[in-house]
Amino acid sequence: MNEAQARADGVTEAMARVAARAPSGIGSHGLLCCRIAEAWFASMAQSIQAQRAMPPSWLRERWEWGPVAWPVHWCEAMAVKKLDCGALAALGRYAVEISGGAALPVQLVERADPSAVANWRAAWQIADGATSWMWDEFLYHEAIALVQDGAHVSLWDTTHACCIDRKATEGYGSLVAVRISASRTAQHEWEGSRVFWKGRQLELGQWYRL
Amino acid sequence: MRIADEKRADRVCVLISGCHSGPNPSAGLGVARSLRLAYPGARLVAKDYFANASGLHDPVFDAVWVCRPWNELDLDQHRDQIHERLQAQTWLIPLLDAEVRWLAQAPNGRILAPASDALGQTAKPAIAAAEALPVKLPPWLPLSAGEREVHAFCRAQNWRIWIKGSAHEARLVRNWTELVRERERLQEVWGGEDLFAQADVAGWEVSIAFSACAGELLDAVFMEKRLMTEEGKTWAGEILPAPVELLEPLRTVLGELHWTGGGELEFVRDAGGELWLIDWNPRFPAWIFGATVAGHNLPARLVEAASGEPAATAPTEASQFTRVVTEIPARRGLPLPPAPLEKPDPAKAAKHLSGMPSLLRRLARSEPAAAPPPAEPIPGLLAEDLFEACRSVSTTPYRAFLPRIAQEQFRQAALLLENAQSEVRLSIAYSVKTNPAPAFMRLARAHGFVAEVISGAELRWALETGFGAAEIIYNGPVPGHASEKDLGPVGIAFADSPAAFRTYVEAPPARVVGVRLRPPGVESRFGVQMDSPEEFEEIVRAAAFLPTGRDFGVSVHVQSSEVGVERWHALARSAVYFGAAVQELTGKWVRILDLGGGWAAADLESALSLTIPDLVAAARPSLPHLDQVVLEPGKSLVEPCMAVICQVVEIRTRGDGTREAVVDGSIAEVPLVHQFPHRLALRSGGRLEFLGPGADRVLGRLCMENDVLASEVALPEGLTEGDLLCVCDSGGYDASMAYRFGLGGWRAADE
Repeated sequence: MNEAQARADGVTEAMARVAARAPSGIGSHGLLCCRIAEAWFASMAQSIQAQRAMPPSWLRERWEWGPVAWPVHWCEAMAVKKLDCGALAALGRYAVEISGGAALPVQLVERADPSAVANWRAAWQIADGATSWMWDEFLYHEAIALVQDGAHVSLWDTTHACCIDRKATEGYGSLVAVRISASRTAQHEWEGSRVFWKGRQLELGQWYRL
Repeated sequence: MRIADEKRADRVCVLISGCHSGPNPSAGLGVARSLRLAYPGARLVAKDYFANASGLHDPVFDAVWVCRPWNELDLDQHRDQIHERLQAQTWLIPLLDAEVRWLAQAPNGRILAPASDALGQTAKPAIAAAEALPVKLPPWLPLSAGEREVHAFCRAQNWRIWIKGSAHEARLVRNWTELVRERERLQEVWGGEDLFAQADVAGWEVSIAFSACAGELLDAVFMEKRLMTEEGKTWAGEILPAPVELLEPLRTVLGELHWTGGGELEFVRDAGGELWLIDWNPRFPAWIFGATVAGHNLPARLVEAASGEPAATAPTEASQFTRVVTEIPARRGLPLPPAPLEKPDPAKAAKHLSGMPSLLRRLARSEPAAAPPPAEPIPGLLAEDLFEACRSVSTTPYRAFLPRIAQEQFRQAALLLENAQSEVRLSIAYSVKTNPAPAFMRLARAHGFVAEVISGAELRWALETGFGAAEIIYNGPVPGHASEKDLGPVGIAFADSPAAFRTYVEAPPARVVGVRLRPPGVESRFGVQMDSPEEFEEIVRAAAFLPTGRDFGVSVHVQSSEVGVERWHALARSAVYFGAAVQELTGKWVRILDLGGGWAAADLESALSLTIPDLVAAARPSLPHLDQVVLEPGKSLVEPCMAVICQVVEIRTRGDGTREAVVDGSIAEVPLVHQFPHRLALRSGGRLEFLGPGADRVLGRLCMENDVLASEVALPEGLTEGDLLCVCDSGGYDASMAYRFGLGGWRAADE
């Protein structure tokens, strides 16, 4: 596809729209409320990981996907019944790392269709949720990259509890663009500037069209 | 029904057997559609063994051959009929597993299916041919290995078990009662000599389908299921190239097997990407047309190789396929059956209208049956105790205490404790509720164990039988203050709820005060829910106020005999994680970790020598001030220490030749007889021996349908009325939960 065609199909504009967004993170009040909440989540993540050694699919068993007021703090995240993709991804990274693994933030642009986007917008506006993550037929979405051997990663969608390495890149529900970023957390500080995903070398912090 | 028109429309004619297209479809329709694309002018004949096979009506077939059900067929005559139809340019592709086995008994070059040798090498559960492939086989054990061995296997596999036969259904079971029930159901339908238990593997189902002719691999595809039916059948999938690391070894194996025909290897792919082989089917899979639309027409490749007739190239439409449900006209000349008067009882409805179970039974009879394993010998100490008990019994049923066994059980446990390699002191608290008999209380005290109680009454009993208050652990669910206000403090008290814990903190009933934790993923009414952030916060806020001088502990109680040893280990670790979190937030160190009981008698040794020391070593960094780890064995100590002795009062021979012994004992004396295997020892003619596996039963004295003390046992030929049957392993909850029933007289509940 040449540049003119890319502009025409909206993907370039979509990537530009999300270029400045940082991956989501869970905040802390620094008080006992958040200390307790974070300690509880850490214990849960470790307990469940001990029972089933796999990516944190339990997050979607516990939380439904839905709008949440940002910024989100630990005590708030544990108290609500719904979390959005950013909060789920942030919790997913934490769950992996507290259990001894490594995970990086992943930001995505996905393609839906205008009627689905309109429906989500209406539902999220009713709940006073932010709607800047969806426009035309595109969505901004967050997931996590599970670090495997060396710098090889596999992408895990914490919202849909599935691996998205082989998700389609055309059509409804397809992946359009991806950015994997470095991570600095209490558990892990990522060293290196690139990862390998599906045989491709990706520089951390850069958007790639799929 | 005869084939309507014997004339061939083209140079190729293929009989396709197995055409039902229901929720659990056969591959006939998919194979036919694939062949039609490759050979538009071919004559395709649908063959099946019941007239309601829905695929028979599909217009892709030029003709149908409806055979009688298997339970009616004269197999030799039918074989002759088949061979008669396999003339020049006519082939048969059989797609029913049992039919493939049967046809292999009399090979015919026009039957495109593997030979007997190849079937033997790919038969479940061993699947010998898989040794050469880079795949794993889930652990398995034949049910004929013996009930205690099977139970031990299931515990080792965390009670996620499939009960399967070599050629038919699979049932998932999660406890002994379910296993016995499903075993009986499968035996009733299919006969049961080849049933086995196999570990479930967590993961997602994928397959490789292939086509081969005379040992040459023609083509293969890898299929990843995307949607499944409730029965686990493929509803939608994606076709991918077969992985090279699997394809090349498969090519070699198929060459060695001289394979002809279709085939499918079914796997579970675990989270780590490992492939676990769960089945090797000797025919194309039902989803085979999905491979065809992806450009891999495996049936056509087979027919092309066999016939030499070039197949038209299949266009590639998509790598993903899905099924849809559609209505088609019923075939002229093949009317649907009349409607029955009423909806059939699902429990009784004939599921296998083709009579397939009958074919398998007939095939089994033609193969030499494996000799049942001999009954295990009775260990010396047990034999001594049982002989003595049988000599001294005056009325039956009688629950006999086995003193030598009991002494040995407690001695061994104390020795294991002493020799345990643990950084932290391990101790045993005898679970009084399991069996409060004075003999066991004495043995526990004599071997330095403390006592674990669940009520004020038990607490008093422990004190009466010589335990000091400091030697007692009080567990819920009734809070200690609610049940026995006048009793002094005990050694350790664990609260069963946040409210009880708050009360314990305010007025400690013990030197060590703790809380029972319910791990995430455990369904239970007991313990503080650790998957509730609210309850966790309550515990943290309460623990912060634990007075100085009182120590803090956590406990977890999950029966490893019920969930499996490995899963128990994972659940026990959650107590460490949450305990450490409370510790971190409050500064109250976890001093005591109580791991409860629920061990099978056979697992206690490994628990004390391996599992628990490992757990403690892993927990130490998180719980650096841990002083003591407590284990609360009950049934693992005392189950083997008692036997219920019954007398044989009647011997019956049924119409099928099996025998039943009615005894004067019952499920009232052994209420847990269906929950785990109990050894049965028969004293007859001066001899004492365990009953081995067989087809007979032991029935209790009650008029209750479930009063069957044993099934699948072999009653000896010389069995006579008056012989004594000892139901062993009855010293645990069988004793403490036994009830008086059907014996006349009256005793009020509080006497």
